[in-house]
Amino acid sequence: MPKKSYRMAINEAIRHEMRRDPNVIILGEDVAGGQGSSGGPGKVGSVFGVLAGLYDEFGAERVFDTPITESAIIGAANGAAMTGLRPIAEIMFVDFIGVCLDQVYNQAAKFRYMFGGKAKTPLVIRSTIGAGFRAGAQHSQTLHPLFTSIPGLKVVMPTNAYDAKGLMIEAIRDDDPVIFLESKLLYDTEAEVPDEAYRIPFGEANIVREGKDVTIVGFGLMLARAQQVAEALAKEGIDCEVIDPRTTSPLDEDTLLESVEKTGRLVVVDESPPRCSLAADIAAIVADKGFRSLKAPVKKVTCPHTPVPFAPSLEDEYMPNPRRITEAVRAVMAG
Amino acid sequence: MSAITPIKMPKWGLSMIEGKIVEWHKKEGDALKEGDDLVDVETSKITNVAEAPTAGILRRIVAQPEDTLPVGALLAVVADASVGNADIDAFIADFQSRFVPETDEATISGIPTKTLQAAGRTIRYAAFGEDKHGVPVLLLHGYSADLNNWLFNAPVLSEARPVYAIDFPGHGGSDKDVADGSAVFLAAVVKDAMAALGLSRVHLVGHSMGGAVAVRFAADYPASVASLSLLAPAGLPGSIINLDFVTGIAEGRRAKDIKPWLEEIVADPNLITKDMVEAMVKYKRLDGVEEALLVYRDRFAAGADAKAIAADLPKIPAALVIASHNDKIVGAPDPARLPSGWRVVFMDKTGHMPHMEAAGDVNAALLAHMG
Repeated sequence: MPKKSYRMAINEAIRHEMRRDPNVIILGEDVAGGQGSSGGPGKVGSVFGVLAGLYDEFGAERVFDTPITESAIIGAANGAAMTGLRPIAEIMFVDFIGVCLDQVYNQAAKFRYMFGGKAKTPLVIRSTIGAGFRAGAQHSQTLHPLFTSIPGLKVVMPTNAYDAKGLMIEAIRDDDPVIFLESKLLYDTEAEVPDEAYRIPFGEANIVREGKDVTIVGFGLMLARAQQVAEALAKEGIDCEVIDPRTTSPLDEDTLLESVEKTGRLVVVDESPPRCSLAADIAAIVADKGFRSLKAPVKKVTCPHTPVPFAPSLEDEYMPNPRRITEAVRAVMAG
Repeated sequence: MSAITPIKMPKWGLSMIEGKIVEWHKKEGDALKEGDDLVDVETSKITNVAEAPTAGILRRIVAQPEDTLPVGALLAVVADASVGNADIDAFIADFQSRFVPETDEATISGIPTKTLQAAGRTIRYAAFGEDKHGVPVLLLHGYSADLNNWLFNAPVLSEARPVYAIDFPGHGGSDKDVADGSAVFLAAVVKDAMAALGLSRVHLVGHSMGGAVAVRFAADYPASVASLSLLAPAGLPGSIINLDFVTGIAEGRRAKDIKPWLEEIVADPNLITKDMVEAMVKYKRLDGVEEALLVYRDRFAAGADAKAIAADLPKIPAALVIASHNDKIVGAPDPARLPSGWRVVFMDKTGHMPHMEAAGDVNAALLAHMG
């Protein structure tokens, strides 16, 4: 099976759906890509190159650049979705969601409910997340806990190229608004990705490593770090189960609870400040529904409660890293 | 030193690059006969037993359970009792100092596949031993399987003749439109695929649903069939069809739903690895697969193809059938109701996958039948 990057897997998913369904359109800042550059329109395809070539294939009618006005992007996308199109809107960095948050949480997320189920909002909002990119406090946040807390939104955090394609196709075919969060540091990672279209259902966690001693949950970029720690600790005889929830809303609680029932120990790795994080959320769910399985307190490995620092040495320490994950696993093993 | 035989990590198929030791059936000092079950080895596809290649004493076990080792790595040493321990030590040291795992491209990327056009559809296929002469072999997989099912067989069968394996519509890398899913349609796909490959006459080998298609094909195109071999075939007199299994595979979406059904296909459920289940889940997620499998399911349930096959059996004077009374998917055919020239071999230690569960025996039987 061909190996493809996370970036190319998302591109392929969108290309496939645009060929399959003429109602799928793309809008956002610089999504056509390269206008005014020496390459010309279509040659870059959004700031990280995820949409490269789509303008060439589908033209300006279906891949169009907007002004630098996030409220216009999401407002237009909401209207398009309600009138039968299936827009894929891009917010270049998730940090910019603030200026269009009303359109997201008070409009898109509410249409189906407030129109008595008669309105559908088949909208995908793509955005990039995460620190480690040396981009400063306003271009490095994750914000998935914010979206996860809003009823009416589905929230997707792919951790690898194979999942990214299947989850994007599922997102485009879904009739509700989906927030699709792409980890910037994963764009160049590769996996075996089929050429054909396939769907990965939302709310279906992936047990990426089976183990019996400790359950480690990781989102987005953090999953790879959890896996790295699990492999290293296996050599010492600590057998970690590693779980990728894939989507934070809906959340596959059953798989998490079944795993903790087996291991009795839980570490949640979340690139997010600790308060109201997914780590806090999952710790609360397990304390509520799986308390009797627990052999040790749940450990959260998160960022500190600060903005993302710009100094590279501080930024590296800000993000959950293998050392801190290892310490958390050892702590729960000690009881 | 000539009396010392190394036991190496076997290579079961093109895509195998390493294997994990599960369990030794013999301990150091045991006397071995050639063909004795020696050690269980787990690969990314299946767990299988490696047999003793020669008689002798199992002098030293080098690889321990849970060890994962590359193909060709030293697992154990067999020698007569007369060989001294120092010679055994020297042999092992010498072997280990020279051993380099193979890492060629073909091994790492798995079975190389191509596509052809048949019955208006894109069909994926794999070719082995294309430089060989002789009547080619054509392999037809079963329901919800694909050409990767033949990874223990194609390399052996292709030592003396070319071997081709196709993916039926709705399966593997072929188009997912399966028309009416009938045996007649699938036989037409086989006919077209043979034409596209330039094959006029083949040794036809079919497993399960592919077995029923092979019978249909042999009845309709006798001149195109040099020999007919059927492995756990569906649709023969006395066979059953486990529709719960067929539906469970068609409708299951999560690993935990699919795994129990996959465990039904083999005699020893421990053969079903996490990777096998994951591969099935990934296949099931592809656009069109669930719909395709449900078309086949409805076709099996209707039973018309099996009836037509039973009526046409007298047109096929000879065939080899390998079946098991412990097959939970199609059961076993009734030899008394098959044409007198047909030979039925029961391998009751296997379930529904004799070509994977007892690859060595099945390969030998196939080669003998092809002549």
